[in-house]
Amino acid sequence: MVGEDYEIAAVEELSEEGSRVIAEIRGREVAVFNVGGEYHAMLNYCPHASGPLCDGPTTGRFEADPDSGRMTYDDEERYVQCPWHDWKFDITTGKNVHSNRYAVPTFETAVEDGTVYVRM
Amino acid sequence: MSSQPTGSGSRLTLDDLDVVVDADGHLKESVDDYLPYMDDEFAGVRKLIENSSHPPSEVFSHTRTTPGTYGGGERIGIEGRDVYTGSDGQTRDVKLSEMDKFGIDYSVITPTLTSGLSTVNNDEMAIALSQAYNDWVLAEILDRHEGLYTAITVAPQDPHHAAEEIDRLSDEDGVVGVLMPIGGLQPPAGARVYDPIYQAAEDNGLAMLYHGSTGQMGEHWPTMRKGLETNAEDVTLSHPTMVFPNFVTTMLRGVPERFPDLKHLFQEAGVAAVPYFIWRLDDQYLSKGEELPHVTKLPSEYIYDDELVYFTTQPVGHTARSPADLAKAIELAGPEIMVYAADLPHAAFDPPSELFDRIAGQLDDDTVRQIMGETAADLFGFA
Repeated sequence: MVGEDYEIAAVEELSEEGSRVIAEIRGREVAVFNVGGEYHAMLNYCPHASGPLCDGPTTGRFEADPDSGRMTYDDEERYVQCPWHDWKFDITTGKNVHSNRYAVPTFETAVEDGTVYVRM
Repeated sequence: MSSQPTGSGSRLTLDDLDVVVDADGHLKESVDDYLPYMDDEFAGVRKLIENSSHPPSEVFSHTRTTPGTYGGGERIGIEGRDVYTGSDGQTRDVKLSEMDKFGIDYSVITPTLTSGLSTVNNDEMAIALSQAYNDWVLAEILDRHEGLYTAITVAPQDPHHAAEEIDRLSDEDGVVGVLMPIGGLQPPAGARVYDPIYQAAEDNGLAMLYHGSTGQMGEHWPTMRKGLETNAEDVTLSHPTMVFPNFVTTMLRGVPERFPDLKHLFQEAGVAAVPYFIWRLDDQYLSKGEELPHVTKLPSEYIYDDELVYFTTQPVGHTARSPADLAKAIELAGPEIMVYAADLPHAAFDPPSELFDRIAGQLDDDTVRQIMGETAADLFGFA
């Protein structure tokens, strides 16, 4: 099914890395984030307890060094943390950071004439 | 032997089962039983122990809220001191008579007093007691019956020495596991300091067993224990409150990730709290996984998908509202991770019928067979 493009924000509103805009499209709240200069859209909905996922802070990610076992931190803020129970999802893929069982719908974005669109 | 017909159309009886395994079959040992097996290397601490008028409190920190009501009887299932002492040899057959009476084919031997090794303040004493207990069991207990197996009981005070003890004994006939004494264990079982123990167990193909007991409650939860007034309060709380912190730390500090072939059996925490703690682990992992980079998937996936964790069913508790509640709890916990244990001769023991009669007909026959013995037989590699 071919989706339709929905205007969500002017490019200026999303010009800073880490900025976001949340808008309602066809009865659903969708967030668009600027991650590393690219726009990524995801549903503002946490599959854990239906919380407003995209209202939460963006974060980097802790990992374990496979050799030393020491904790490392990737400070690219590519992840959003639900304000209700701290579940974290990769904004660029919609996948839960800790388990591949859970994911949030993501949507294509497009920029045309200074406007950011979400395709749904 | 109980052989009542069961509900829901099943005609399975206890007598139909091919194998019943007690995954927690206690000895009622005293230090005097195994002190003669203590190596001369430990002659100094052996002398100190010999000088003790009461090793449970002077060597171990083994205490009770009250003496309890079961005193010093010798009936099966009744706590009694020194059941295995005596020079005539007859008392040493108590374990076998228990197994015959209740139709138990295999017992994995676990200690009673010695399961409190973590409460021994003196590290050298703890190591020496571990060595002497293990050698005593191998020399005097295991060869009495082909259905007897044992777990090497280690002194966690010195994990490297414990690993050597595992390597020393793992090839002995009848050794199927390593018992970590968890009552009063500090730091808890998930700490990396114990990795040498887990490595040795995994390398030798042995399962880890985790067992606490009421006598260690004063060490394990000292401030809470101070407020307890009766033996009933103590016994209700002691085993699960020892098991679950060690289970939780083992899961969340990445032990299953570091030792992917090591299986764990948590003993005597019963059934019904198990699903809650598994759910809570998953919940916390998903919320706070960034604290836990050593855990790379849901804790429940290590348990169910990788088949690394098991719990004994005993003590199942009294399900006054409906006997079927126990089967429901087992379904929630996952029947494949639950293994029957009798805990004989402790006063909280569950004869096979106590579990069987409440799950036969509620769970399918194959599942009942697995819980009563087949899963444990696989876990321990019984022939």
